[in-house]
Amino acid sequence: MLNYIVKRIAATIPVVIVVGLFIFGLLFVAPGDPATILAGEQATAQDLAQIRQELGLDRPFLVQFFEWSGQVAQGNLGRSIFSKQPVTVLIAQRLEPTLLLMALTMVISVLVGVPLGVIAAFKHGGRLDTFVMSASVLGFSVPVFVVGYILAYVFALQLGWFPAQGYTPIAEGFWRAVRSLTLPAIALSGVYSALIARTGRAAMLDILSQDYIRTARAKGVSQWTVLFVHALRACGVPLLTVIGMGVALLIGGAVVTETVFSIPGLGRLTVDAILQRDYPVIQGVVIFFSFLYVLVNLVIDLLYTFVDPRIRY
Amino acid sequence: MNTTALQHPPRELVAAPDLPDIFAPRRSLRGFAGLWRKHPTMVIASAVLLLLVLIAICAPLLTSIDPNALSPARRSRAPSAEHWFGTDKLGRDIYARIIYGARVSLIVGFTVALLATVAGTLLGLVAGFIRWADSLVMRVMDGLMAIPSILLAIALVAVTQGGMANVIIALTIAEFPRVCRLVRSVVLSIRELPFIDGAVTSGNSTARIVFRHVLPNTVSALTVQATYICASAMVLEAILSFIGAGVPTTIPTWGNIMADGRSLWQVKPHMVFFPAVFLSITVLAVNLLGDGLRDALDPRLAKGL
Repeated sequence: MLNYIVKRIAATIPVVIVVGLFIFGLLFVAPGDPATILAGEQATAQDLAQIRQELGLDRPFLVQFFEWSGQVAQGNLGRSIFSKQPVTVLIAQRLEPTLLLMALTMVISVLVGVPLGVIAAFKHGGRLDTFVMSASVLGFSVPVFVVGYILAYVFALQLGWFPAQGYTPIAEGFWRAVRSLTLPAIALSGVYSALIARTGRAAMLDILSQDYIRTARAKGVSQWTVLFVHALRACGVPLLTVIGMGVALLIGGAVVTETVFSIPGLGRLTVDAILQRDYPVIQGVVIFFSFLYVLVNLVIDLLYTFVDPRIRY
Repeated sequence: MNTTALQHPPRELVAAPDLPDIFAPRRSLRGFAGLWRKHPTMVIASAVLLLLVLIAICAPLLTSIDPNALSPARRSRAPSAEHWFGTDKLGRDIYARIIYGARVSLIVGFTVALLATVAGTLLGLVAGFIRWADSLVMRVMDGLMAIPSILLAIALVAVTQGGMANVIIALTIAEFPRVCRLVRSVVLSIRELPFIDGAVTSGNSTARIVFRHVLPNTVSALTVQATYICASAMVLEAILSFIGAGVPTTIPTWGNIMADGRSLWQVKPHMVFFPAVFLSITVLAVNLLGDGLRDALDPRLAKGL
């Protein structure tokens, strides 16, 4: 087991290096001088000279890359062109709403997607199955900001059940924070729960035709227990995998959803950075989210053995 | 007399018993009728897409209004007979902008699908056939796939300063690793099959084996994947435009129209509603076309999903 954990962690190293090389290399592939991109268009000659010196732009690319990686590893993502604050500080300030939004979306998606997938597989070929499958195509197709606007129009503007925009920090009460993120989380969970439902259904169809399910039914276990205890346990691994992969969708979706609902999170930080051409911030956010994604998937890989005791390393 | 009776046996003797018709000859419908019967959603989706392509091509015929013409006197108007979908906050006609915006959406979707498929196929073939390149290529793909596609595109567009070509390049880089993985996995399973051994023993060159024997077997999976990439690229393009990291605001795109309407949408929902409907219907049509192609080309895959 320990052996496996070490191996699995080692396997993420090349991924992290490629991510770093890509993000850092972008500065050099792009037209123009890396210092100009990092310092912004209004930079003075002095700013440029300082950045050139910090990066050591005259040295070989790989030397620069190793130095930069060392800085990133120590948590130094550079400074924002616009606010002059360290990027890590900016990210830390905006982290709360984004993480809460992602967590809430994940909870909603699992609660909606898993039962729908199970029931669709159970009623395979029936009307309910067709409905779930059609709904999932819709979930994949209607972009998250469109769903966001529809929800905000109906439930915030017309019915007034939820705030149409903004975010209440957790410091002012956990449930108030949750309430302010309910609509964005529902909008964001469209794609995610569609993905979970489809995967759950496919895995379930496989499991339901197996002998042990027939045995369970034959000995008189109730339909509910067969579906949600015997069969669902065996779907744990594919479901966990898709939940982990879906985090990429979640991260991308969070950027857009925060824009629609004016939530001051990391997505909003990114969008503001784009408008201000604040490249260090964009770079920092991309690195942060990519590492988060890699980390989540690492944890999920390690969870497999708990979910499915048949898996031993 | 008797001989003639034998030559012409009475009808009752030869008539087939009236059994239930369990093996009724399946009338296989060909052409359009067959397609309609088997995959109705695919036909509808194709029709919708064809209509959109026509709209995009014939945009100047469908409206006489310049999509970029400002008329401050008529800004933020609700839909009317004069302005079917209303006007935006600068007084531009939203109907005209949506019609012209179809061009961007379709061009970006189709181009990205094509480029990502070609690039991904080439690299996938390399990874599947050249052992030493395999782990290198796949580690790079793993790395690229670890960056969420919207952020990858944002980073690329941020350093290259926008523009439609750069958006297309950014989305291609974000999408092609999926194709690469798919092609590699298909190649790895095909290269173990006996007919490849046969092709090798009969003295075919590697290039011939790759392009004559392996590549054709990836086509159906690739077609389906390309459709999904097209849908995904359309959504991503709209998102990039919407958050201000995409096609320049001077070009009308569905994402740009929604971005323009963002600040006023609570009072003037039509500014966001119409482009949203067009975008959703287009993406839905492409996705349904993909599902239809998947069912038609690869029934094994269709059963699972």
